[in-house]
Amino acid sequence: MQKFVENLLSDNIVYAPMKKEAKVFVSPINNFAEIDWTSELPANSFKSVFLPPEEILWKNAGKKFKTAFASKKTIALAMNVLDLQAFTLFEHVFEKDIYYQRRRQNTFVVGFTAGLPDDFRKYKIFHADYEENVLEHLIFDIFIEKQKNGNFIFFSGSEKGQKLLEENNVKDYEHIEFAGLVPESGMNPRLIANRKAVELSFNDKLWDELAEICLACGKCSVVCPTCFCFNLEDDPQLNGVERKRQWTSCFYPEFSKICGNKKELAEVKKKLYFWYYHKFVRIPEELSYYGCVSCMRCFNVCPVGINIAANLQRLAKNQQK
Amino acid sequence: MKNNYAYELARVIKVVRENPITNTLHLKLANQKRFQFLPGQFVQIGIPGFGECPIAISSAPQDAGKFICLTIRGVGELTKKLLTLKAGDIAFVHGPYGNGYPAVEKNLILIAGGCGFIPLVSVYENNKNRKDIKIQILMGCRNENLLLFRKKMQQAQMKHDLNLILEETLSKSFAAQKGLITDLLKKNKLLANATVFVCGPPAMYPAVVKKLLELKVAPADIYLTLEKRMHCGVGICQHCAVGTKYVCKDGPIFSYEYLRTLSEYQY
Repeated sequence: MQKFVENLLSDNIVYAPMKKEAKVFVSPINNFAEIDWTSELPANSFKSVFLPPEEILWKNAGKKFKTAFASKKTIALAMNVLDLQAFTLFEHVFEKDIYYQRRRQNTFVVGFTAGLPDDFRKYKIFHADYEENVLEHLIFDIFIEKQKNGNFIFFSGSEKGQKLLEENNVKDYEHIEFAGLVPESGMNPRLIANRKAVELSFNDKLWDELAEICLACGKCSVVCPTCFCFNLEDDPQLNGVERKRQWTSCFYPEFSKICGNKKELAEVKKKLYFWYYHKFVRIPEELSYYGCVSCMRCFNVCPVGINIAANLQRLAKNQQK
Repeated sequence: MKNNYAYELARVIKVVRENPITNTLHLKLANQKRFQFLPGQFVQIGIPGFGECPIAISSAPQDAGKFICLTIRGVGELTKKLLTLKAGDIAFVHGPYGNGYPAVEKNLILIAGGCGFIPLVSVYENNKNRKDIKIQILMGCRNENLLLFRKKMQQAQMKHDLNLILEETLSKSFAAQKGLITDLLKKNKLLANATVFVCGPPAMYPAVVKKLLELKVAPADIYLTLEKRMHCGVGICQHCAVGTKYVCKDGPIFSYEYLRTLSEYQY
């Protein structure tokens, strides 16, 4: 295992969970010893590996446009199952996005689990069942499972992954074919229930109460592994103009601004509803898939302690009344 | 894989001044001969350094092989810059995007408020010579100075039932009433068995839709054009989301049958 990872480190940029002070963060790493193999959920996600906070789409001077695609070989190592779910969503959302796809061609995705962490319950899995066949519905190149006896089991999820394993003399692995986003048994009932709870809830008092305390700072969407809203912005340089794609947040004031300075999402209540609606209604409608992987990172960073799981439960309860 | 963020170069072949703050650019695209669009669709036009914005095509689809027209009112940094383009200049566009208006199978009522006439003029041009349907136009504008497509309006007034209402002053060149667009709906008998296309400022929609519903127009026969902030044009960036759909990809034209299922459009 150590040799495998050291081989990967030799000619790739590798991002992996790393213990820093009391928390685990996804960071670029240089040696095997830095990697945290406890399966503790990192405070940040792997999002920026696949969708950088800022990327240049093209440079322009006069009539000429120069398009630059990312080409550095990258490995997302030891991705937990929840971040793999978010990545699987991105694979579908950015299916036809040439910048994402070119980057993806140069990226290996290596999932990892050491079994469920003891405190897994604290993440209040309010929609995702940790099923036996969970890997069939995730996209990855390689997945590594650490068993209780300390042994590692390898899985491949793509031809690319198989090749990488073979090249590194890992011969004993099982291949798992991606079986689509929706399990054979149908959409997860909790996905349907959550959608129902949010869809027609705009007049629920909850949104007014949250709007009273929410600072609309947008930290939740920055840290969220499934938030992918972006802006296209022009950045004039001395020798031309760069068009950049940058992360944004539906909580930021410019998000819905149109001519005449009108903003559809002017009130915090509408921003909150828009954020939940995207995760629990729009994404399930488009892809029959999770828009929220219940990692609870938004709750962990929220300065006023807005708890997405508790809010979902309350909306569901109010809806039954 | 197509790069959705790459521009095509377009040549400005003619500029028509519609009013002191609005120009119509006649553009010839690099692939003009193969270019096709539906009335109601739009393109993204940009100037590097100023960003880009969605603008509805205002010319007739029949002319798509020769040129397209973009009618632009200078209200922001980019649109004001676009007003400085002259014949011979280069413009940067990509598209077309959006769903466009559905095919017209019944009588047609066009309700336009101000700039809202821009996408509707393409619908009008596409249907004006049909003998199998009647066309009625209800148009509201702040004052005469802000009118668009005067020549086309004069022709339309002779051929079809065009009703103009101005908010501030009366017109010297057109028969017009004074008031708001909803006053036209009160005063005029609407064509029966008609599809209604409405385009105008958002503030106009609740009043117009309420009135149309009162007049027993079915929600499925009312189509509204929505305006939202837009970045990507292909339904990813989320700025223009409306319910579970996107203005850029599934719109900008939505039937009221769909919109009325969303809390923000229940008039």
